[in-house]
Amino acid sequence: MMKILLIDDSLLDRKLLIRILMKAGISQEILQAEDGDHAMEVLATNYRDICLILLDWQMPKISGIELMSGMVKIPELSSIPTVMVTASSSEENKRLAYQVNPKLAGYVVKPYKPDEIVAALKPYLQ
Amino acid sequence: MQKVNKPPLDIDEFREIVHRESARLRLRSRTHSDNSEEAFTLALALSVAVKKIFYAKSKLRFSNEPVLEKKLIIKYDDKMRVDAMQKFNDATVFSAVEFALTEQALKRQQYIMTLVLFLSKEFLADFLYLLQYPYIDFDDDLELQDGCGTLVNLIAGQYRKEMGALKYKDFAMSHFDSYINSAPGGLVIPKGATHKYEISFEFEKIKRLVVEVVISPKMRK
Repeated sequence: MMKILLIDDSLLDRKLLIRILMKAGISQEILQAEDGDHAMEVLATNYRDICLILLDWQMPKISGIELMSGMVKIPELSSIPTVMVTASSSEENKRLAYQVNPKLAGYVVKPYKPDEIVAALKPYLQ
Repeated sequence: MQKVNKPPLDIDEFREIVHRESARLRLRSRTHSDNSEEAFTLALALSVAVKKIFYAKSKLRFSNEPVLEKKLIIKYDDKMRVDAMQKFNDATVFSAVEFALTEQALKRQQYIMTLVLFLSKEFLADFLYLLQYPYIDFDDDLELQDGCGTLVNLIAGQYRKEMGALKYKDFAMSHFDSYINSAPGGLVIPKGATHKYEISFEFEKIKRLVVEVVISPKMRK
């Protein structure tokens, strides 16, 4: 079965997302990365099995937007649907995220409602 | 079964691409700001102010020239989100002061500039001592917050002098607010600001002090 990759430096946020996904009956295996650098390692070895990426913006070392700017240049990764899950609600940041990745699958602002994030993910989990 | 034939990605190549593209991204954001030249000059003036404080009051010398970076502001409810622990990967004390055109504007939170000083909790007491302040108890959060606020006041005062030398008017300045690791609810910043300048200072080749300045897009002399 294909897997979901959660990239977020906050353990609490990752736990919350996992709980929401489980409650919504999303049964994909979930991989986790705590920053952009760790995410690169996980992606390099597991990209074939990843069907969706949930990406935080503000992280230490390499931010989510920086990671995504590299991912879109790599054909093996650019086709994986990516949803930005971020505390930044500013229009400028949202615009930048779509400029960096025009195929961005979603932009969800924290704190989000469980239904909101599940609705953003479901189309990519069929 | 197509996926079986796909080898793992070359992690070094992946890292190189991310670093190259993120540098390009930073360059792009730098050239998209409307008052970027003026803001850059003010950021440089801030680095000069910090240097002068330390050089005038202590024998402390920085290992390298300060590193100045322009970064996007992460906003939440129009406030700037601050995760201070990312600065040093350690417990961090930080203090913020705001500037406004007048005292009335200050009261209305119509800021033209927000200045934030970040210090590793571990080194704050040493910094104060080097600047000839008495030692503080670094296990006492209130003393740490007060100590960091004292330093940001010093820096902000010198910064006003530097701005005066650049022919800016003498702005009204707020009292400091201090925090440890994070500011619940975020920091109030000038309206419309999308970027901040982060200036990092190294002592003994380790980053120990960071100042950030958010400048209003409407900032003019």
